[in-house]
Amino acid sequence: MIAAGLELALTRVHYHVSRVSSGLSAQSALAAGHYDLVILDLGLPGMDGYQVLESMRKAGSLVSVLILSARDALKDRVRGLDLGADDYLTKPFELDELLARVRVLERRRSQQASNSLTIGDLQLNIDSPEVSWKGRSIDLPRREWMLLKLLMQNPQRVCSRQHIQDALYGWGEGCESNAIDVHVHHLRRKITPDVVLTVRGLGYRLGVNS
Amino acid sequence: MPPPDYSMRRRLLWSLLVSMLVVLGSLGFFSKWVAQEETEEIFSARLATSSRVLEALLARQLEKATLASPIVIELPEEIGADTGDKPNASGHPYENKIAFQVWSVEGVLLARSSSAPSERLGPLEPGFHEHRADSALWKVFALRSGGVWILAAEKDEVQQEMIEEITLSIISPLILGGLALLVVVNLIALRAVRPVEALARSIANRDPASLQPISLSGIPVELLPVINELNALLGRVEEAFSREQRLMDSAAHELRTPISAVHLHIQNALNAPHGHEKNESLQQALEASRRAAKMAEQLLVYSRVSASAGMEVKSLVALDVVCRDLIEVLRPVLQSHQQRVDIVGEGQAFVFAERTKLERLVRNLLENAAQYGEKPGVIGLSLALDDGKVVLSVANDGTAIPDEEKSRIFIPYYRILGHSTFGSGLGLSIVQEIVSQMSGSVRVEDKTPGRGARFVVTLPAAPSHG
Repeated sequence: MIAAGLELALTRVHYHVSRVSSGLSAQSALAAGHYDLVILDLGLPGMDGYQVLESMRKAGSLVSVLILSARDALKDRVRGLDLGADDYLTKPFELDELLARVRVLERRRSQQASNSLTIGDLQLNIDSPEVSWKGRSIDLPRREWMLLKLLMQNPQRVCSRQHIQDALYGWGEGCESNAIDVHVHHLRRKITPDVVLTVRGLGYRLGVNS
Repeated sequence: MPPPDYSMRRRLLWSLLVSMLVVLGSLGFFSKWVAQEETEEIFSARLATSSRVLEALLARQLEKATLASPIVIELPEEIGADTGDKPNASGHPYENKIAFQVWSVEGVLLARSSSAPSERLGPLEPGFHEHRADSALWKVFALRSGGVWILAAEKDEVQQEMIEEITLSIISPLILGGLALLVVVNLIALRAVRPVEALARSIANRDPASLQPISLSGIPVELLPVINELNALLGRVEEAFSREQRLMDSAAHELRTPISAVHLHIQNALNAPHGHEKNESLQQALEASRRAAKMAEQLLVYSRVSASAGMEVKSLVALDVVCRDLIEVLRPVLQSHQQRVDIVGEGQAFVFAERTKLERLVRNLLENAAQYGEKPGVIGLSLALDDGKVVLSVANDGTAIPDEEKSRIFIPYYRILGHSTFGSGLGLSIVQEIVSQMSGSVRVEDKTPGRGARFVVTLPAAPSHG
């Protein structure tokens, strides 16, 4: 009931979301794909949220976890955080607060000090779909924006095609074999041809230096 | 009129005092009677003996003597007045109270003791007499010896004094003992009511919110039933309180989810870039608010059903009619699920109950069967009379309820893991509450081993119906 609304709201701010409705399918999804954040409800059918969290952490997963639950008792919050959650938000909640908390976790993951990523003349705010290049604002579709954000969050590293595919496409979501090349092509055309460098045989990395 | 309150201690003391007065009174009366009898015997014998001694010593001489005036036999001065009571070497003051006279048959006083008055001490007839002379009551023995009468007498007060002293000597220690007993009993009673006071204090000093059992040590066994009953009551109140608390917690928890959903979908609608996306979000918000409303409604039903226990307006209700009516009411829902209800066991079954509760019971069972039953499918409803009981069962096909879950599904907001179907979480709790208020029972079993579910409700049948 809430998940569909959250999926819509998160997708609108350019996150890729996989929605599952039970503890077991959450486990399968986590095993199969690469995720940066899990928004976990505790009252899941089949296997409750605590169990999902516990088994994730036991398996060594470092994915950020935000618990979103109607259980507001202190002991529930403490238990959730102690089992390895990064944040705990109780229902009813404000969407803007949830999105802000999601950004907090994202900043922490990518070791950003603020929502704004600035590398040379390139600037991207993780809380708005706009990108600016040399002071000029550029509107990017969701997946191109996500690809650029991924490269900017890892400025000195080469991102493999697999890593990019996982970040842009969800678990079980089909992706054409040349889809990533198309996104890269679009970014080069819209910003500057050197914005993304191809590292042959390995993947891509950001071509802009600070 | 209710009997008035009283103090245990005072009642004990008063009853002790009254019984003591009765017992001591009768004892005193009896002692006095015994003393009277005994002294009477001794005094009479003494008077008779004295008469005979006088007869032997002087009656015969006096009979022949001619006297100018009666001979008066004086008592020594030293013995003192007759008011004293200390003996001395000369005799005893009491001798003044003992007297004799000798009369001739012609009625002439021949001799007397100085203690005797000059008027006659008694009638000149043989035997014992009581006679008033010289303003004193005398006990007299008259003895005829030849031509003279010998009258030996003793003042009655001597005997009365003796009787009184004997009686007093018996009764006074008893009275003193009784008074001492009253004091002791009072102290014991004060001590005995101390645990009651301690209990009262321990209740008075409690934190009003505390429902902890009262624990006192050194309690008399007579008070234990009171404390045990009180603790049992506190236990029941606490149980009811914590059940209520759990229910409220669960309800708040359950209501938050649809309310959050309403919130979220409306925010999505506000953020929607296109009209159709806005409508879609609003549609979802509406759906979520319907759920919230349904949950609030069921919560209200549950709390009303629970709160009205024992206050039902009962009447004779035909359960078979109620079942048929509700199948009609639920027909649109059943049709949308492509389900139908088969009724087994025709015939009338009357229950003495409040109709609305009975309807709620049947409705919830049918809704539950429709929700969890196969779609399309058949819901089986059967009604039977068995040994003064009405047995209603509602069965559906579909997944069986695991054995370990069978007793838990009646707990408010308990949901079986793996079931994502939406329900209020209270439907079966309401069923159980109503059934228990009607002194009936409800259980769930597999329809066929490992498949389906059958809810069996047993209610007491109405005693007679014409």
